[in-house]
Amino acid sequence: MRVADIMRTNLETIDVDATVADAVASLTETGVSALPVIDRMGRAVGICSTQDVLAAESRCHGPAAREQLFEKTLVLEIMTPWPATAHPEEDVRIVARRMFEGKVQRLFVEEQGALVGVISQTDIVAAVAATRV
Amino acid sequence: MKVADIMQTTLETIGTDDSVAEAVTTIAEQHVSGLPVVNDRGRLVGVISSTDVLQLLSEVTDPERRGDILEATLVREIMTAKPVTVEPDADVHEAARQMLYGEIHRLFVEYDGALVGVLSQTDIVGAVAGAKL
Repeated sequence: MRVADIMRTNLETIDVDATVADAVASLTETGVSALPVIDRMGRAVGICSTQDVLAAESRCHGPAAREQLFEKTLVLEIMTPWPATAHPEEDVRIVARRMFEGKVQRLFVEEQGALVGVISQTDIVAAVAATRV
Repeated sequence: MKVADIMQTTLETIGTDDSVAEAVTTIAEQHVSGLPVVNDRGRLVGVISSTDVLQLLSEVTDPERRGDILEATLVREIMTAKPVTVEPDADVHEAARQMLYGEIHRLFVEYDGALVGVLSQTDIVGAVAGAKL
C-alpha cells in the first residue's frame, strides 16, 4: 500500500504569525491534534501540535507568563520546524518505520516541494483496522 | 497478534484529585498525549488527554482567569470518564478498530479489573514497521 492511498488531503492549516491562542482555538474547533504551519509564501514550514502547546505551557511559571504565551507568542516560536516528510508513492511500511523510529505522530507528504497531504499514525491504525496492512 | 504482545506495561498515571497543572507537567515530561486517571484505590476511572487540557484553556475567555485555571481545576473535572478498555488477549486488528471507531489514541488494557498496560497508536505503527502485522 502507498502513502497516497491513505493520506489526508483536506488539511486545516495555520499561519506562522498567528498567535498561540489562535492555534488553540483552531485545534479545539477542528478536533485535530496538529496543524501544518504555512508561511507568507504559502509554504509548509512546520507543524503545531497539541503537545507543542502543552510543552510551551508547562514552561510558563505564573499567570503573566501564560498570558504572554497565549496572546503575544507566535505559532512560529513553538512549532516543530521542518517536520519529516514522505512521498505519495512510498510504501506505508517504510513510512511507519520512519514515524516509529523518529517518534513522530505524522509526516508531511510532499511532491516536488509542495505539501500535498499528511499521513498520521491514525491513518495507519485505520489501515490496520480495515486489515489493509 | 495479541494486544499483550505489543502493549506497554510501564505507564505513568495521575490521580483524580491532582490538579490539571500537574497533569500537564507529566504529559510534557513523558512526551505522551494522555494519562490514565486512577482513584485513591488505584482503579482506572478515566483518561486525561492534551486535547482535554486545550479544550479547558480555549473555554476561558477572561485572560486573567486563564493564568491560574490549570492550578484551580482538578483532573476529575475535565477527564473523560470510563475510558475504553481492552483485554490482553484481544486481537490487535480488533483493538485498531476500537481506536478508530472511538476516535481515541490509546486503549487501556485491563485484566481481572486491574490496569495492566496501555496500547497506543504508536504501538500499532511499531508493529506495522516491524512487519508483525
